[in-house]
Amino acid sequence: MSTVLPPALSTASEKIRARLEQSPLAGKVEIRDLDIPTLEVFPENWIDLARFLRDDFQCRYDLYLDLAGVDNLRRPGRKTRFEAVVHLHSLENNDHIRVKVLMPDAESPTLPSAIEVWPAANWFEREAFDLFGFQFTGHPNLRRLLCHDAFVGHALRKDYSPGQRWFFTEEDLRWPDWAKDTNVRAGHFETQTLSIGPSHPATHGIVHLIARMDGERIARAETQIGYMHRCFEKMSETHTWNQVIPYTDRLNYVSAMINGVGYVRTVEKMLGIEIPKRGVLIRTILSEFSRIMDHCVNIGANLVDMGALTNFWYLFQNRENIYGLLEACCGARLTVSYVRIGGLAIDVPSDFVPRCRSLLESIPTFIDDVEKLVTNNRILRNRFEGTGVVTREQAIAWGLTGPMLRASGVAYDVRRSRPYDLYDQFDWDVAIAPDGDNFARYLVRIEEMRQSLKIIRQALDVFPQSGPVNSDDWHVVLPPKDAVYHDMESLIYHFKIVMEGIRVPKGERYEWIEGANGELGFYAVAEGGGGPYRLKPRPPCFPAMACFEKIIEGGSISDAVATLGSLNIIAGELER
Amino acid sequence: MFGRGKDLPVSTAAAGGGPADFLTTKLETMIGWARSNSLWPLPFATACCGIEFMSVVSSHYDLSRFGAEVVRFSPRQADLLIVAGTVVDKLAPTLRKIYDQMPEPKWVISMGVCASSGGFYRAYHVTQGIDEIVPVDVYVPGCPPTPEELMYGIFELQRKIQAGEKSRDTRSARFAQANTSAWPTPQQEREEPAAPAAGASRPAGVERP
Amino acid sequence: MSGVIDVSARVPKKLSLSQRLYLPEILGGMAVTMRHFLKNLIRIRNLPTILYPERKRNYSDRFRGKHILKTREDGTLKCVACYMCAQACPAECISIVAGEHPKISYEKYPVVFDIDMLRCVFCGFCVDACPKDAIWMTRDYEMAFFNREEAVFGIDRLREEPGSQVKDGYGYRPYYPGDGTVPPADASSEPVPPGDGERARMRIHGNLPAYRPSAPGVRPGGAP
Repeated sequence: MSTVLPPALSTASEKIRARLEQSPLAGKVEIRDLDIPTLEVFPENWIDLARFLRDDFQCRYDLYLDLAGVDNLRRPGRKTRFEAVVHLHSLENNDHIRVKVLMPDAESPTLPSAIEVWPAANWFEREAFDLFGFQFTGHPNLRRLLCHDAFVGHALRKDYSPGQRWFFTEEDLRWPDWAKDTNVRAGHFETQTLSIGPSHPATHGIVHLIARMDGERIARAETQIGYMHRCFEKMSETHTWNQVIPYTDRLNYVSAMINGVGYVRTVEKMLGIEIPKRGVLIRTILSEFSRIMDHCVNIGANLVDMGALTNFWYLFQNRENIYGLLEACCGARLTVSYVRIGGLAIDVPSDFVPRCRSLLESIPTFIDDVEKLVTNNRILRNRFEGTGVVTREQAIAWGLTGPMLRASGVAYDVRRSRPYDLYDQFDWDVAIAPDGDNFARYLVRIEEMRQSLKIIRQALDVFPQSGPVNSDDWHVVLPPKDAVYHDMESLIYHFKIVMEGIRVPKGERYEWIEGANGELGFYAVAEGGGGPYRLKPRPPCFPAMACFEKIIEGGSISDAVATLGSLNIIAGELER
Repeated sequence: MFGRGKDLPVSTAAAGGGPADFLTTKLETMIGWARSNSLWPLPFATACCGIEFMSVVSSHYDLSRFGAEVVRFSPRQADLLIVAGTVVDKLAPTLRKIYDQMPEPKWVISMGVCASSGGFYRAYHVTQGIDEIVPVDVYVPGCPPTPEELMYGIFELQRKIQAGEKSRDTRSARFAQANTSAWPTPQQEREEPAAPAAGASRPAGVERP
Repeated sequence: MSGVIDVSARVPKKLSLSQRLYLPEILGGMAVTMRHFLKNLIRIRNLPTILYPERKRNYSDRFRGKHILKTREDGTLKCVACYMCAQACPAECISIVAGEHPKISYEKYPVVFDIDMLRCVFCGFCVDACPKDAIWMTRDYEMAFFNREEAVFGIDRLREEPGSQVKDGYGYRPYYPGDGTVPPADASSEPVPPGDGERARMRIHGNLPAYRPSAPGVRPGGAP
């Protein structure tokens, strides 16, 4: 394969092309300029390209974001049936890149594991094995991750029927091999293997932690997930573009609006439509309120695990107040389904701005109360400081983003590095902390709540009093109801959108926003039809959960509980 | 006492054997009253409904007003299993084990549509209703149900307890039996795949990718 | 870097003497909780707790609760069984069986309209999709069932009784009072066009008209 020269080159892909031509990989990698530079490579050259991309001084793609498998069975004109689509980010140069590994063998797609290059690839590759059957050579623990162990077949392949279930009993659950033996150390002390979860008060959502305990110390741990795998990606393939929106609400369900905004932005970019300023500002304001809600739940639940129950109730007051606002806008408290492709479902009520302003008065009082109880409390400081430490290099190697990465000292926030939805017009700060322990994450989240309030205040100052919230393209947005009732043309647009779904031009796109947990991206592939061909959300807490077992090794169980709370694992997003 | 649902057969003196049963039925009424007003919930919270359950026990709605303050995460100490959120096939044996570990009398509330029927996840890994696994006493719809809706469900359960139904609802168990006939029993071959989840009929003529 | 705050710089690593002594901080914390406690005790009317079921939270006019099938002035359902709500529903919880209505301007009506409340995710897509203003949502959320069969609501439980008050009021609907939207004209008040035998003749010949104007002045266009 030779390198292809498209007519217009972006600087990033020019730079990569120039560097590749001087490397041994010249001629083996194809570069195309889609929404982000896209490289195509075959499995035999994948690891060399991976090392090149991570280490080359002009590339430095050190943050492994996502691996999405794609089955091209119903996509005519593709080179191979299976592709592994890897998204990477360079913290130094602040750009994203996509690498597609094309696997020619359709019966048993094989490619080498990138785990030595980016340790974050561990669980992403296990998931691709589980859902597509990709064989990653060199992976230390290639087992099913999300589906249960009695599952037969690979669920996201196009020839797998969406409703095909398999019977699973307790005997089918496979424990890791190391868990079966009990070392006997010198001194006649045996270690015990403890199974913490999946139903446990300290495991938020359901996480199954298998820990070998040496007294109180954790000698070795492994996390098993999949207890909440609700098949979001398969459901998105069987529904239309707009029908996916309620499913996105249930991804990160504590901040439901943000997922919806991320998803519809991806589709809107593929369609090439713009939203009016009022709609954008409503989305921004409600997203920031959702971010505050998310941090409230996280800090509250984390402190409950420490035994500090009062803060939970204070922070839930915040949540209830914000619920009142969301419910006034769209009718539901938690799973809002408020966004639509092209705008919002309905406009906000007339008292939206006064409601927001009164929330801006009441929320800081509760945050201040929590800080008074927690920040200088010796007991909590002793439990949080120094536990769950993630160094800067570890955080980057493990693919962390969001408050976890910022608490390890890396100032990467999508709202600052690639501003979207008018974030660059507001004056706000990114909160970081250098230590990387649980206390740093707590402080970062408290500060992020205050920064969110700052953003909302500024957004309310520029909020247009009136105006449309939806794009006026009726191929995408449902026409206004009185037009539908009285006008034939609107009725036809309405009918086509409801019955057949929106026509999105063929192509693919990865769009990313700052979710409450980190970089929330959506990789969407459109192939005609009324719904997505493939939709992969990049879950920000997935790499955090993957590195959890490494963080807690050597610590005590109580530190593990404190750390798990501060990772902000939302099972809906972790396991989609 | 607050539920507004359908009437339930209440154990009255007339329904029993007459004056000789007066003391027994009064005792049963008292026991029913005591049980219904001191439920100890086990929140088997998996997903979004778990967050709404947290709202129910928080200050705005406060379930402890009805005696259910003590949330116990150990099944040995709880009598009300509130399954809040989607149950997937991987979690199903765990749910069954938790249910089996609870001592009698015990009740199950299926909170939310995901727990009651699979919700809108007609998918390859989601249990289409926990009544495939455990007998359910009250189904609370909603996605997620508002906290008042869950409280209404708990009131209905309290009515049921006071009417004398000790543990499993025979109608629910029969329904579970009838609807898992498509699901292979453990004696059957493991290789035989289960039938896909049934759905309401859709009008023909629309293509999906 | 501008715009970046190091939050750990604000919190000194080493605790001060009073903080290390435990008790002063604990007393400070108790001051916070006692303040809340006394505030709630003294002004008990302002308690955040909503004493359901005696008092109910005043949900907004857009609350997505139980569905309701709207009726025309003459009591027939506005629904024409077009299947758009069933198609729009992501949970596939709406089952409709259509029947032919003898009155031409109504044309179709739902013989069966079932919503499985234990599948419905209360997203409101059915309300958005309806072209006839036939399905709304109310603010009623008080539903709990003892078995799954009684959770399937048919027309009898969904229809709005004309003239009677809707329990808890209307919720999510296509238009709200005062926003300038004009609801559809009620077909029951229109005159029936002459030539009623036309339909029978067309049925005999095997072709029915593809589009009937529901209001005078609207030109028949192409079929949807």
